This record gives sequence, C-alpha cells and structure tokens, in this order.
Amino acid sequence: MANTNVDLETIDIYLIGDEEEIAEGIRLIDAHFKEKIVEIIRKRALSATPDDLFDIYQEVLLGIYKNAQEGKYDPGTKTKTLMAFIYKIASNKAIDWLRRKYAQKRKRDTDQDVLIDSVAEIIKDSSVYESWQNAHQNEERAIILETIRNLVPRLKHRQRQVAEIIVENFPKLLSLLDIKKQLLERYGEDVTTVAVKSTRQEVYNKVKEALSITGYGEYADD
Amino acid sequence: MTETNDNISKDEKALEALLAAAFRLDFPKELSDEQAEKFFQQPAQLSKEDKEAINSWGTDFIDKLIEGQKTTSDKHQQDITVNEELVQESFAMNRDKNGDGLDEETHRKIDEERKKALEEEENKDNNQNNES
Repeated sequence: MANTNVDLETIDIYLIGDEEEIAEGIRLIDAHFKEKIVEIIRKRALSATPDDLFDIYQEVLLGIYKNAQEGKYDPGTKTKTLMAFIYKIASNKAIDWLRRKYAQKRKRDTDQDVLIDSVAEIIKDSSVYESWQNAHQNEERAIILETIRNLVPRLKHRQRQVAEIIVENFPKLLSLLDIKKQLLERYGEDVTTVAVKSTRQEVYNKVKEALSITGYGEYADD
Repeated sequence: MTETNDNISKDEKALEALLAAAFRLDFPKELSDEQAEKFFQQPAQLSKEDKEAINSWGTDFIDKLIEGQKTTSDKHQQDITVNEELVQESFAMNRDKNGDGLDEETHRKIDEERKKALEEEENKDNNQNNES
C-alpha cells in the first residue's frame, strides 16, 4: 500500500493551516505519496525523462501548496478527499506538460468524436474486433484500457517515446519512417529504421499483453 | 498478420487504436473519492528506472521549492526594510550636515580636543590611584 501508516486527517489539518503547516503537509505528501504521484504523471507523460518527471513532480507539489495557501483545499466542503485532490492536480500538471510538448500538433480536447469513430473503424477491420465487442458487452472495455495504461508506462524509455508518438498522432497512422523522423525531431534521437521497427513491436506486445491479461488474449501466442 | 503496403497490418493498426483509446479517450482527469482511494491503495506501477530516479531526488528540494514560492513576498519585505534603512541613514546624514552648521576642519579640531581632554582625565585618574 502506498500510504502506509499515514494519517490522512493530519495532512488535511496541515493543509488548512498557516504557511508552515502547509509546508509540513507537503513534506508528508512527499513522504507517503511520491511514487503514486509519479505513477499518475508517468501514465500521461510517457516520454518524460527522469529530469522531466522531477520537474513535473515539483509542479504538482507546488500546485498543492498554492491551492492550500489560497484556501482552495477544504475537504468535505469545497473539495474532494485528499487523494482525489492530489490525483486531479497531478493529472492536470502532466497534461499541461504534454500540451506544451505537442502544442503545435493537434487540438487535444476538441477531437474526441473523431477519435472515437477512428478507433471503432480501425478495430472493426481487425481480428481484435470480436474481443473488443465482447468486452464492450461485458463492460470490461475500461479494464482493458486501464491495463494498457498500467503496462505501457513500464516500457523502456525509447519504447515509451514511440508509444507517445503513436498516441499523439492518432488517428493518423505513422509509417516506420514517420516514427523515425519524429524521434529525431522531438527527442533529437537518430535511430535506425530496424531499431524503430523492433521498438514499435515492443509497444504492440505490451498492448497484446494487456489483452491477454484481461482475458482477451488471442494474441498471446503470436 | 497480413502486412499492408506501409508495413502496418490491420491488427497492428487495431493495437495502435487501442493504445490511443487508452491514453486519449478513456483516461479520467479526475477520480471520485472512492476511485482515488482505491488507486492510492495499490502499489505504484513504475519501472525500475523511474523508481531509481525517484530515490535520487531526496527531500531537500521541498524546502527550496517552498522557499522559492515565498521569495516574492520575502524579497518584497526585504526591499521595504532596506528602503527604511536608507531613509534612516539619509535622515542621519542630513542631521550631520545641517544640524550644527560646522565644516569638516572644525569637526576635526573638536575631535582632537575631545581626545586630549579624555587623555588628561585618564592621566588624572591614574595618578590618584597611584597615590592612594
């Protein structure tokens, strides 16, 4: 458990106190929730380097500090519980980072309908379709997607970069050369086409693994 | 899997679609209290590389981070203090120049006389002590 022995009520009290008390609350949050906060960040910011993670993490703590300082954290009235409060701030800070990184590429929040149609259309033509339909009927689609979100961030750094490029460019499907070009443009990394192909395959394997784990793994023996 | 001209099979496209769906369509920015509690109770799912990075951060940065946040107000306060000191010094300088209306040479002579008087007083005290 991430928050072993932490007294959430104590942190709550610190966060509604004066500046010194809020600072103490931040120290306790760092001591007890650091890994979970980084997990939230990592799931959004796939290509973040360790330095990027540290920067975003500090922004999260500062965000909590500022919100508390401005009286915006008030458990039980204005805001949700501490954990929901932390999740929201961490998620938003990671999205901000991603937006800054891909600012010129697409309008992230305005293309949801197009995305939904594209995902449905592409899956319809594949052997994933039947599994996906079954999952939908059994309301387990969300579990598959959550599993993908849990597995992909644990890939190696280069593989996460490729995953992020695929995600951020969707519904446009990129060729190996496109991915190779973006690796160079975005991350300054000149990778051979062969290496890009094997890296992309590792990303595919993680998605297949998620399908397999959740019981939709006809790809398990590919 | 059947390869298409751009080397991405239909099934691979579907995997990419699932990947995009996972990270762009069905990814809540907020959780309910119950969902958040459940999430935080699970062990963190991080790579070894990320865990190593986290361990290297230490805790010293927090005070610096918070101090940085306070810099503006502290600096503002510091500026006010410095300005007040400057004003006081300025007042004192003005008093020196305008209070007695004497020039530097006169001040020097007064200081010399003061020193002589003090030395004479000290000598007297010493003589009296020796006699007693």
